[in-house]
Amino acid sequence: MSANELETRMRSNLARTAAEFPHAEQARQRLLSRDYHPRIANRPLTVAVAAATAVAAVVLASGLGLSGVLGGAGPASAHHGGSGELTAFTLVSNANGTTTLTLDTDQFGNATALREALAQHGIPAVVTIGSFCRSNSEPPDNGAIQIGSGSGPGETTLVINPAALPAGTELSFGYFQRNAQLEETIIYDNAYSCTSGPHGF
Amino acid sequence: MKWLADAASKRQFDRFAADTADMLLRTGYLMTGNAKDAEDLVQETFLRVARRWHRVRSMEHPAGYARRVLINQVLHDADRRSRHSAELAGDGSAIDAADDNAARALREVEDLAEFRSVLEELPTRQRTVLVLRYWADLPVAEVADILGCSQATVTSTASRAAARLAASLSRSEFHPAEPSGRPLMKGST
Repeated sequence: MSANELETRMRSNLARTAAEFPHAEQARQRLLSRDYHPRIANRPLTVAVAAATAVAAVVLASGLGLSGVLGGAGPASAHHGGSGELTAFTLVSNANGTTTLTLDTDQFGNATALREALAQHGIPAVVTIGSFCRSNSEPPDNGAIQIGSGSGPGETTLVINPAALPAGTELSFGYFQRNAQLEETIIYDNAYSCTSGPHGF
Repeated sequence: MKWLADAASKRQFDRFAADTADMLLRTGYLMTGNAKDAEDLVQETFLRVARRWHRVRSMEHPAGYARRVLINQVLHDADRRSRHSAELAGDGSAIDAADDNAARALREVEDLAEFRSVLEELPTRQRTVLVLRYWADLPVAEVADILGCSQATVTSTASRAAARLAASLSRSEFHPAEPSGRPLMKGST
């Protein structure tokens, strides 16, 4: 089979396989009717952290390499903490005054390190693990947080513009280990409360 | 839902979900070979995108972001999913040779079953590359970005996956595999 034939066959077979999704419209309607709430799944929906070890290792290695190349990330870069624990995030200053935060959601676990690193980049933040802090009404975003293109599985990439943060506000990051998820928002620094569930639960 | 704070955001997300559900379901199906798992993946994907909707909606390609979220879940879940790899294997039905047309049609079905079986047996990253490259039709550079690897790695991964598929597909062809002499994947398109 020539390369062209193989490519054609692959495209064809993938399209046919995708088309064979059983009762696709019913599945679609079920999804749209659930209002995007977590469902009682027929399998665990939470990310299998342990199963991601190999991938996470690759990602983490990439992150470490990146911070080494960029250098300027200083103490905010991914590094080994004092206990040997991997903090698993990088902060990189961009020329336009923004800072790119890349966080490995499988490896993260040091809230203090992230908060201090953000502060060094001029970004005030509350960082919590197992809880999430927010104000009753979220302050205007003004482009202070944008989702970055991301660089791989298990990573959250955010581009933060501290200059766009309204006066009297700061960022709030809440990390939930059980589903390896990071929540972020903007809060009024003197009016917020913290709950043990992610945003929306 | 708290993270879709106002009615306009909710409507906007509803429209986004309606527009992307089918694509995401089929991507999930190709990635897992299982319709229920695909549905669960899309449900979780919508949940994660909704939480960040006020930021995702300003991205250039929100659908691409949602696909990335889905793919990342699959990659994370790879080890667990591999235990279910034989779920869509062919059923071994016999070909009714009395009718040439029927036999040909049935052989095509078996080819597809063989293809699905081999696709499921591929390592998750190889399967991801094939699905994104040859079904979603993404350029090499975008696949590399999603997987967090170099374009060269995407190309070599695709070549390895293609070689396995070729071996499988060739077994059901009338003529054996022949070396092509050119790389399967060209550069970014």
